Amino acid sequence: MELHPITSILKETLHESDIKNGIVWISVEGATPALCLLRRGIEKRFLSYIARLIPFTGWNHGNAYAHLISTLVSTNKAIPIINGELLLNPDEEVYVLETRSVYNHVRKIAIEIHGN
Amino acid sequence: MVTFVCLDVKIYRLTFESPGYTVLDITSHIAEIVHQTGFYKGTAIIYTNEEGCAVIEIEYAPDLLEDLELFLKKLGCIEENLCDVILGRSVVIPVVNGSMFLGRFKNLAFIDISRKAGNKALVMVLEGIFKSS
Repeated sequence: MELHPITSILKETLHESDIKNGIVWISVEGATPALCLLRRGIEKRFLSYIARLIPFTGWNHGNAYAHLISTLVSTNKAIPIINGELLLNPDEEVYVLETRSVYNHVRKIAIEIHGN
Repeated sequence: MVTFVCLDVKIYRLTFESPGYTVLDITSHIAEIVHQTGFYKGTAIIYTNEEGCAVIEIEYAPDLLEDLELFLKKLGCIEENLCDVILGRSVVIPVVNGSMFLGRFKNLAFIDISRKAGNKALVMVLEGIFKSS
């Protein structure tokens, strides 16, 4: 499993929109990734916990662990915008969690910014 | 270039029969409403307030749904009737150019673990731009 930080992309997109107050909806395409907000520094602990909660093996479906993590952690997140900034703590990062080993794979993310 | 538009909100209610312990693929029903209403860009919120029911995103494959049931049993939420709290009662799906942003394998599923058969409801809130508006 691998975490890919996307906070800087979200911030750039938000600043481009010039929206000051509202909400950012983020969604990742596909049935096996997930989106999560994590404090920097706890990434390894989070991945270890998820792997204990939903082990790689012992299921009927081939990559069931990846689907179950995606369903449980969710592929959607909402973050409020206040005074033109995402309401995140300074030590927080938004990540795309890739649950499977994928190479040369393009993952699409939808970012909707609602506000004024 | 930034374009400002006013967003419309439309709300729909879907009802269907449930045996009280089931998983239903609701993707095509939701997609049909998105299509019929001319919903073009925005968010579709699918919510249920039915007791013991949840709305989730998952590939609708029988062996995977068995795995989900196994996982929920391991968590112990089925016997406690708390799976709706774990799984959540709503999902939010972006709609981009008239299509739901799901990907090839992801479906929308209604889960009923209430053990109470009967008529169950979903509420769908579409917020965004409609072709007719």
